[in-house]
Amino acid sequence: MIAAMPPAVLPPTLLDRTILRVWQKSTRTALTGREFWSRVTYYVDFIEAEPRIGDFALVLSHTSADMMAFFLALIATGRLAAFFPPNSPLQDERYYFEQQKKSLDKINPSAICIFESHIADTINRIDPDLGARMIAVPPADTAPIDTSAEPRALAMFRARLESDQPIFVQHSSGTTGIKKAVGISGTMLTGQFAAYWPMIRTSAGTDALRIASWLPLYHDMGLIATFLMPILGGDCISIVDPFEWINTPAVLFDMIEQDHADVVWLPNFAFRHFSRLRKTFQPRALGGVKLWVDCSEPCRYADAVRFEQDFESFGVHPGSVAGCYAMAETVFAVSQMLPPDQRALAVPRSVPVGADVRANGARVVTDRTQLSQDGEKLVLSSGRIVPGLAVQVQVEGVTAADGIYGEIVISGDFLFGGYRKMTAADSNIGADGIYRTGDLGAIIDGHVYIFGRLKEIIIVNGKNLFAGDVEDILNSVHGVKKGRVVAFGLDSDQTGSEDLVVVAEHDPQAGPDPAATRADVSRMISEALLVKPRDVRIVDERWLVKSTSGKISRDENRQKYLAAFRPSAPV
Amino acid sequence: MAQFTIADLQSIAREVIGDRDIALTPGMTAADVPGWDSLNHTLISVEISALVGREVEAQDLAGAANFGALVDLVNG
Repeated sequence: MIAAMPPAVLPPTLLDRTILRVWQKSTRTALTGREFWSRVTYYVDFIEAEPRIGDFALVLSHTSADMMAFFLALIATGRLAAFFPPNSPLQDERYYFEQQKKSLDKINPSAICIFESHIADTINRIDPDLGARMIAVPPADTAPIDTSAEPRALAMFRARLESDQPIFVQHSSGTTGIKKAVGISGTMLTGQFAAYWPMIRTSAGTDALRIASWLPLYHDMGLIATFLMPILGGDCISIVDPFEWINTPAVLFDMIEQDHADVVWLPNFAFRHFSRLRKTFQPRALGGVKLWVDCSEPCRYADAVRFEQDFESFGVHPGSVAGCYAMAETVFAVSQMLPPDQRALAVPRSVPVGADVRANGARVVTDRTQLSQDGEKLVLSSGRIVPGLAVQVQVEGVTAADGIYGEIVISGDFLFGGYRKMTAADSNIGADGIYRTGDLGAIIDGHVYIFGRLKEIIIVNGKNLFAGDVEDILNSVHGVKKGRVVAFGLDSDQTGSEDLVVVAEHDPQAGPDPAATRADVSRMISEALLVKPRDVRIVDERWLVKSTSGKISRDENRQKYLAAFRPSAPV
Repeated sequence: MAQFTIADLQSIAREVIGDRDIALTPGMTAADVPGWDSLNHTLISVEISALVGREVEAQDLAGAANFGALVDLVNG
């Protein structure tokens, strides 16, 4: 067992060992620390010679060693850096950037740094002003490197970690394209590293982790857990672009087997997706993975157990899927479960805020033979709070006792000070420095369980959607009666995420028949929000239920939808 | 096997997405079908491969202009 000592930041030993393996179309490129940091240094030179980059640069690229090196070079040279998602191969590039223009205008970077020249042509066509801020980044020079000295970017980057000012920005994914930005300082990043990384290393039983990941770097889980934390620690990252993983999911198992990975971070839906694809996989040796971290959306015990059972013959260890509660506002992890402490909370589907969950029938489950009963949901524990943070449950602003269902609030060493260009108060941070997350849950015996939200947010495969924004968009669809539409989320046993469901009343005077309207609604949501609705129902006039206040009631219409269209689903 | 048809595709989509009301026509695309996202697209490709007895790449199918073209692509 490795002791949970404060880890060294950027230890000199990283120079002479492999720290990055980039997988692309079944080939992999391995880089030592010296080779990788030499690429960072190449880009430091490039940035210093390119004044157009300015002080805040977005990096827009598919995953590659060069884009990772460039991001670190921006930080090393004192620029504020952020990743921005590229279009997927399934999306029309021009349409994608037209949709993203609102976000790009809001973020207002001084430069948009790209590695694929065709993107510049597209952005120039939709907005010459954005096009003027485009910087085409060349491939890094991979000529023989100087092995006599440390690459100079390393010392520059190390110095930036001392800063209490933002060195990079994480953007939350919002429905309307208006993204909230969280600035992360050097000291916040190293604070998270000192608190979280020893827990992971101890659990994996090593002080040099080997991580396999397909996660996008524009999302906090990919950016922090599978890029910046291992970069700081000199651990080894094996990474593939997320779109390549979607097309060939088995590539992650190849990476784990060939690169001997011991830790993997995945969103909950990915565990479910692997189980659904189980019959397609050839056997792989996955037994080296000590920890499969389940993060970024509600963690479901049933999906964790099923994954472990489905892949037991591949070597996946029982109890190795561990929940994590994380957010950009605390850099990353708030709490983390560690084997062999796997457990879940079987909780009734409806618990009032302020209630003691156990008095309402909830029970802690540690025996996987006791899975859920009808009317319960099984919430995987997100584990114990990481050092340096204080996490409480509050009800109407008052700290609640163990087991009470309420809002999760956080304070601590590496909590953000407010969203970029917003006050602390507008960022839900009180004068006492406590951040109100809007997440609902309970803490029982030191374990954090998250299973609700104050606002009507639907999380579809890691993307946050506000129900009201979805409804607003659909009011412009011909065939939908204006103001008579409702959107809500449903836990999905099929996908392991939440489903976005839309019910809209048909306007027969408008022209399109219900089938055509259904297709139009599906297409409109896909194009405007870049998320697919799981179900769209076009119903007759006056089908939707209004509350006593005269508004369309999401809760009542959710119940009515379940009764009408999914009678076997849990209510 | 016999020719792959739009009815075969509809049957697979209904099963994978879990929606018995899905009705496909040759002119439609994945964007028109609730639930046909990138993850289900991979699963649908797997089921098509199993039905026709040879591997069909998800990425190739994603490039089809509509379901009619997708069926033609599968039939090669």
